[in-house]
This record gives sequence, C-alpha cells and structure tokens, in this order.
Amino acid sequence: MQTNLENLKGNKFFLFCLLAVGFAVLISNIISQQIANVTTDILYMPVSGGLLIISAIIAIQFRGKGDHGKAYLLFVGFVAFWSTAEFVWFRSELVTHLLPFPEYADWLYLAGYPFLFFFSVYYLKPFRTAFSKKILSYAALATMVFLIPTLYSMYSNNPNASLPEIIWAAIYPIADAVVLFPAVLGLALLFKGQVGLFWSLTCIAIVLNIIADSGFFFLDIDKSYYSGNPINILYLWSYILFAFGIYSHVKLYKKPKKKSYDNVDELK
Amino acid sequence: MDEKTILTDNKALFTIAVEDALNEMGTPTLEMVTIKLFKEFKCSIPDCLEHPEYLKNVLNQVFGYADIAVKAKIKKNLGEFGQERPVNEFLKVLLK
Repeated sequence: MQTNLENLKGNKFFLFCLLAVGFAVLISNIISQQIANVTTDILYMPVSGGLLIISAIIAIQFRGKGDHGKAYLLFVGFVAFWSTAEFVWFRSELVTHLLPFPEYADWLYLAGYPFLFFFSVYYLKPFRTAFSKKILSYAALATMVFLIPTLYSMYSNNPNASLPEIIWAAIYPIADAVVLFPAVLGLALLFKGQVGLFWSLTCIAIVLNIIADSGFFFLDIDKSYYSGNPINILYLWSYILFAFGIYSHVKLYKKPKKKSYDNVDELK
Repeated sequence: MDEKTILTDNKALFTIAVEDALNEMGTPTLEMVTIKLFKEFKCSIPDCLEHPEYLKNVLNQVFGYADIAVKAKIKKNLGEFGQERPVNEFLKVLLK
C-alpha cells in the first residue's frame, strides 16, 4: 500500500490534474464571477467524462462477471448519473439559463448515490467474513463524525427553515455519510493491499464531497454562494480522485501482452 | 492408485477450490493472482499445494487485511478434503 501511495505521489499527471483544476478555478475567480462560472462548468465536462470512460474500461475488463464485475457495472451507473447531471447543469446554466429548484441535475445526483452504495456492497461482498465488530464500529464512528456535526450545524444555523428546505439541505450530507460507511470499511480491510489505493482515494473523494456539500449549504444560507465559487474545487478534485482510483484498478487487472516468439525452437 | 495419481487428483481438486474462491470476485482477479504467482515465484496455482507460502504472500499483497476472507473461502471450498494430507498441511501454513 505504501508503495502504491508512493507511486501515486510520483504520478506527475495526478498532481498536475489536481493543481491545474485548482488554479483554473482560483484564477478565474480572481478575474470575475462570470468567468469563474463558465470555467467551472466547462471543467466538469472532461473531468466527469474522463471518469465515465475509465469506469467503462474496468467494467468491460470484468464483463459483469463475479461480484466485482457487478460492482463495476454499478459504478458505471453511478458515474453515468453524475456526469449526466454535470451536463444538465452545464446546459441549464450556460445555454438555456433556466434554473428551477430543485434543479433537474439534483435528481440525477441523488439517483447516483444508490449506485455508489451498492457498488461498495457488491465489491466488499466476497470479504464479508473479514468484517469484525471493531472494523464495523470504526466505519460507523467515521460516518457519525461527519454526519452529526453537519446536521447539527445545519439546523442550528437555520432554525426557521421550512421542512422541504431542511430536507434539501440535509439530503446530500446524509447521502454522502451513507456511502462513506462502506468506503471506510473497504479502506480498513483493503488498506494494505494493492486494491486498497482505490478505497483510499474513494474515501478522500467522499469526504471532499461532504465538506463541499456542507460548505455549499453554509454559503447558501449566507447568500454568498455563486456558481463557480472556489468550493467547486473540492467537487472537481473528488472526480479526479475517483478517476485515479479506478485507473489504479484498470492497471492492476490489465492483462500482460503475450510475447510472440519468432523462433519457436528457442522455447524448447 | 499409486502416489503420483493421488497427488495429481489432489492438485486438481485443490486448484478448483482456489480458482473458485478467486472467481467469485471475477475472472480478472483469478488471472491477476495467477500472473503474480508466476512472475514472483515462477509457479502456478496447483504448485501452491506444495508451496502455500507463495499463495499466502500474493493474496496478502493484493487484498491486504481482507486476505483472511479469501483464505476462509478456500478452506470452505476444500471442505472435508481439507482434512486429508497434503491439503491439511497447506491449510495450516495458509491460515497461520
């Protein structure tokens, strides 16, 4: 695992992607909010589209066979919903300029969460006998650490909000916390293994989503949120982390090229 | 049956048990473990009956702490056959 993390640290493209996205959003924010809005919406397209392509590759490698084959198909479903949501968001902000509440994209984001959850369930199913009470309680604790303060601060900052407002504000952090639980289980079980890099990156990606969703909520209450706000860096980074996590599996399960021997006698 | 035939039969049953445990996750997982065994130890799954430490090492490299579950599945697949020699010796080393 340590070697994997070292490999990732040494992966210049990974660092380049994180830095490039971060700087692009920050610099565009310095220029103007309008440019920040356009830059961020455009950036979501290649980032989510790239993740969709990489997840389709791993799903094709497994061909839906076995628990992991089914899991990767579900992951493709999750990414398909989220990347479609990004496209819908892009279209309604930059093309049609129609922004109903809740946005159509919100329904697509929410539809993606069950796919991510069941992806984790199917992926971890072959390892179910390794779940100890200790690991389960660590995962539950990690989930609660993020969920309870977020829900508490949401309610305490906005006690006069109506029920639909509270539901819409809380639904994302709750969904994030639900998917964080199996992700922490996966990280705890597979951390030392070569397949564990994906789970490390997935956990960080989900935590980034929780922070971004909570941040979005607070900025929204404060009326200081605007489309293209630097908080979008966290959402963009979570896509990059998912993509590099899945890419680590693509590389791990890649079949080596068969050597062709010109001179068969050499083999004898 | 001579000793060689018994060993060949044992190896065939043993291979099915190990392959089934890995195939539960997907064919690429089985292929990856097979390739790693060959790359690192120049051996195949049937050879692991005599060298359980090779399989143990590869499973730990790939799955980390979750290798316990894969080993348990192999033991379950071996069933009563796991009490016979040399499979019981293989399991002793694998599960140690």
